[in-house]
Amino acid sequence: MIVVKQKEIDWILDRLASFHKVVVLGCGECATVCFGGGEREVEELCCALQLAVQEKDEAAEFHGLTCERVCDWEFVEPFADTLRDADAVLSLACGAGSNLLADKLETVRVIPGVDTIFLGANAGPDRWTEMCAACGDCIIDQTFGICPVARCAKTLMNGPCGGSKDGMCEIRDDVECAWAKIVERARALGRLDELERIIPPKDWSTARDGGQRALERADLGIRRLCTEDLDEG
Amino acid sequence: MTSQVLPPCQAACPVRTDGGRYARLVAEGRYAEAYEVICRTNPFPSVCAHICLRPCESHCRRGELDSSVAIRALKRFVTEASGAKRPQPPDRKPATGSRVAVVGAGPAGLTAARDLRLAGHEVSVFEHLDRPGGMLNVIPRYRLPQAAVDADIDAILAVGIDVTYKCQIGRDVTVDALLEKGFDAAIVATGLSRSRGIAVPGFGGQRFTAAIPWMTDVWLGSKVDVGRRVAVIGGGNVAVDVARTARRLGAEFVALICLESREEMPAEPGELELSEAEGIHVMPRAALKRVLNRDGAIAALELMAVVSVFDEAGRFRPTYDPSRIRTLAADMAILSIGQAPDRSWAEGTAVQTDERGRIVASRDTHLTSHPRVFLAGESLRGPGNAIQAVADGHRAAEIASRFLETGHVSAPAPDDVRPLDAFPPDVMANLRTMHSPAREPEPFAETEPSLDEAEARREGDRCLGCLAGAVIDTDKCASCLTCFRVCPLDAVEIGEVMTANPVRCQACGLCASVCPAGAISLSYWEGAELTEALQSVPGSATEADGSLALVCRYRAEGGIEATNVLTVPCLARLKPVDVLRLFRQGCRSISLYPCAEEDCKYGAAWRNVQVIADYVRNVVQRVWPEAAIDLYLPETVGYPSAAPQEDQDDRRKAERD
Repeated sequence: MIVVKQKEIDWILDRLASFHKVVVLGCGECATVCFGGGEREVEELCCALQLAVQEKDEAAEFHGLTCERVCDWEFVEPFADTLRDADAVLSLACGAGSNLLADKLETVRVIPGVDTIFLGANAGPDRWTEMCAACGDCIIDQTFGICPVARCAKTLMNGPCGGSKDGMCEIRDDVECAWAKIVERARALGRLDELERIIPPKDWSTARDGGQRALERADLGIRRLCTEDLDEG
Repeated sequence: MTSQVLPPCQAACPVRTDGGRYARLVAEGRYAEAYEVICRTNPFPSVCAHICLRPCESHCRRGELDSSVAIRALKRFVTEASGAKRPQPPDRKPATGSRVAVVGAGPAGLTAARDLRLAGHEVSVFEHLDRPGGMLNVIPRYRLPQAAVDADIDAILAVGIDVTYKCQIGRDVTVDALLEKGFDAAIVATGLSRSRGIAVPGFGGQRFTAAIPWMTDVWLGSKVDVGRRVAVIGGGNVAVDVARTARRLGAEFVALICLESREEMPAEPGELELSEAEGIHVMPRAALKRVLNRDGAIAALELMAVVSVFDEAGRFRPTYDPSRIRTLAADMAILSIGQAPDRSWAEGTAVQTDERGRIVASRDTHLTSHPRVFLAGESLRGPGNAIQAVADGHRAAEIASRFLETGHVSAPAPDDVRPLDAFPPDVMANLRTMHSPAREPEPFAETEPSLDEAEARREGDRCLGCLAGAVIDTDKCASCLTCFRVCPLDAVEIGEVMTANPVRCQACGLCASVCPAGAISLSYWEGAELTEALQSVPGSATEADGSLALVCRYRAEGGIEATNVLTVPCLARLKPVDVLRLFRQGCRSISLYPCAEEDCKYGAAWRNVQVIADYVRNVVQRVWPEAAIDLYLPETVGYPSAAPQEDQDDRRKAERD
C-alpha cells in the first residue's frame, strides 16, 4: 500500500498561516492503515492545530473530515460544498488523492499534510518498509521476489556492489542489502545458477522517467456501461 | 429463526435480568442506573436480593475462572446500601376500561397485578391472609427481612392496586361471582398452600405438624411452639429453613431426616454445611417408618434405611430396607416433604378439574376450562421459587392483557435464547483471577453478610462483560489489522470483514483506543459517553490552575492530590484524541491515575495507559512545550486489601512484543 507520513506540524502551521478556514481531509484507506492520515489523525491534528493557533492568539478554524478514499472523486464529492467553502484543504491523503482533489476543486488551495513516501508493506508493529518503486516493468521473477529497483539503494540489476557488508547496505546501518538477500534466497532454493544470467538495463520509459503514466483498459468495457450516455427507458 | 445469544447470567434468569450490566454499573459507581436495570423486569428486587436462588450465578462465566460474580449480593447493595432510590415505575397506559381480579397476593399474583395495572386495566387483588406476600411470609426473617418484603410490596401496590384481605376464594367469594360482579377476567395465583402428608402409623399426634403451618405460626407471630428434640422430615430448602428456625428457637437437638443421600438432597449447596455448623444433625437416606407416641405426644420416630430414591429412569421410586431400623428420640416432628395446591375453590364453578383432581389448564396460555379464568405461579407450574413466580406472573399478565384487548387468548412467541459459549481454554489462561470480597454466610448470623461500597465496586468489576465487548463498524474499518495485532486474547477474526468474537472478547477496549479509523466501539460502554463527559469539563474549573486529574473509575479516589478530578471508566480505554481535547478545553497539565497494574483486570490493556501518555505528550508538546501530561502509579491497592496470595498468581501468557 501507499505509505504516508505526517509532515512536521511547524511546516504545516507555516503553510496554513494565511488561511482562516481550513478543512483537514483524511483518507479511509492507505493513510488510515499506516496511521498517517485517517480519521484518528484528522481528529488529533485538528486538535493540535487548534491548540497551536490558540497559543498564538489567532483565529483560524479547523474542520476535520474523512472520506472512504480520496483517489475516487465519488467519495469526496458529497463534501464538495464544504471543501469549496474553505480557504484551504489540508489533505492527509497520499499524493494521488491530493492531486485529484486539487484537480477537482480547482480554486481551493490544497496543502499536503503528509509526505507520500513509498509503496510498502507492513514489517511488524509500528513499521513499514518500501517494497516497490512502480517501475512498470517488473523483473522480480529474476530476483526471487526481491525488487532491486526499490530495495537496492543503487538500483543495481546485477549486484551486490562492493559496499555490501554482512548483508547490510553501506548507506545506513539499518538497511539490508537487497542483493545479499537475493543471493541468499537463490542459494536456499538451489538456484544460484540463475544469477549467472546478466539482467540487462531496464527500459525505464515505463517508470516515472517516461513521464506521467496512465492506464487504459478499454477491454473492460465499463465505459460502455456507464449510463450517462445511454438512454435506456 | 436464529436464537438470540445472551450473556449466560441473563439467559439463565427467568425474567432475563441483565445481571452483568448492573454489576458493571455498580463497579463504576452508577448506582441509580444499576437500580433501574434491576427493576426493568423484576418488581421484587429487595426480596430477590435476599432469597433468589440465583441461576445467574450458577451460569456466570467467571465461575469457570475463579468464582461467579456475586450478582445477588450486588443487588442487595444497590437496593439497601447504595443510597440510590427505587426507580419510579413506567407511566400507566391510558385506562382500558377493563377490570381484572387477581386471587392471591404472593409474588406471582402481585407481579401480574402490577403489570396489568400499568397496562391500564383496573386491578383488584383478593388475599386469604391478613397481609400480602404469600409464601414470602413464611421464609425465615434471618433470610428475608420484613423490610425487604415491605419495600417491594409497598411499591407494587402504589401503582394503584386495591387489595381485599381475609378473603378466601371459594369460601368468601367465588370466581364466578367475581366475573359476574363486573370483572372481565380473573387470574388465580393461590400457590401451593396444602402440605403433603405421609400416612405412617402413629402420625397425627400432638406436635406432629407440617412446615408451612408451623412456619406461619412462628414468623407471622401468633404462636411459637418448639420441642426440645425436633425431627424435620425433608431434604429441600424449606426443610433446611425449618430446621434452622427450630435451632434458633432453642431446640436442643434438631435432626434433618431425608430419603436422599447428601449428594441427592435438593437443598441449595452450602445450606447443609451451614446447618451442620449450627448444630443440626443431617440424616440422609432415612425414611420415617412409624411414629411412637406416649400419652398422646410424640416420643420417638422409627426410621428405616433407604436403598434408593430414584429408579433408572430418574423417577421418584424410593425403595427401603425395613430390616435396618433406628429409633430417634424426638418430641416434635415437622413434615417438609412438599406442597400441593388447594383446589377447593374450583368446586361448583366452570373451572374443571381432571380425574386426579388437578385443575385443567394450559401451561402455554395459562387458561383454565373457564374462558376468562387464568392460573399463574405454582398453582399452574408446580413447586417453584420466587423469581420463577415473578416470571410466571409477567407471562399471565401479558396473556390476560392481550385477551382483554383483543378477545383472543394466545401464548407469547417462544423465547428462543441461548447463552454465550464457554471460554476457550487459551482465553481462560490469559484472564487474571480476582478475589471476590463476597463472604459466605456465618452460622447463626442475623442475616447474610452484605457488601460495603468498596467491596461492591470491586465485586462488580469482576464481571467479564459477556457480549459487552468490541463491535467493529465494517463501513469505517480499513482492515489495517491493528486490532487483530494488539488484542491480548486473539478475539479479532479476519474474514471478509473484521469481527470481534464475543466468546473471547473481554471488552478491555484496547482495540477501540488504537483504531485509526475510529471504527470500534464497546457495546456496553460507548466511547461517545466518555467524549461527552470530557467535553463537559467546564473551562472555569481548569482555568484556575489548568490542572486535571483523570482517575480510573475502578480504583479508590482517595489519596489523590488534585483540585480537579474526573473519573473515567478505565484509563486504558481512552483514545489519545479524547485526552488531547482536554488541552484544547483549557487544561495545562493532565495527571493520569490508573489502577495498580496488578489490580487492573485487563493486564495487557494497562500498558496502553503508558502508550497514551507518551503519545499525547509527543503531539501536544510540539505545539505547546509547556503542556504536561504525567502518569502517577498508585503505591497501594485502592480496595480493601486482605487479598489472598493466590490472587496475585499471574496467569498471563508471555506478552506479545
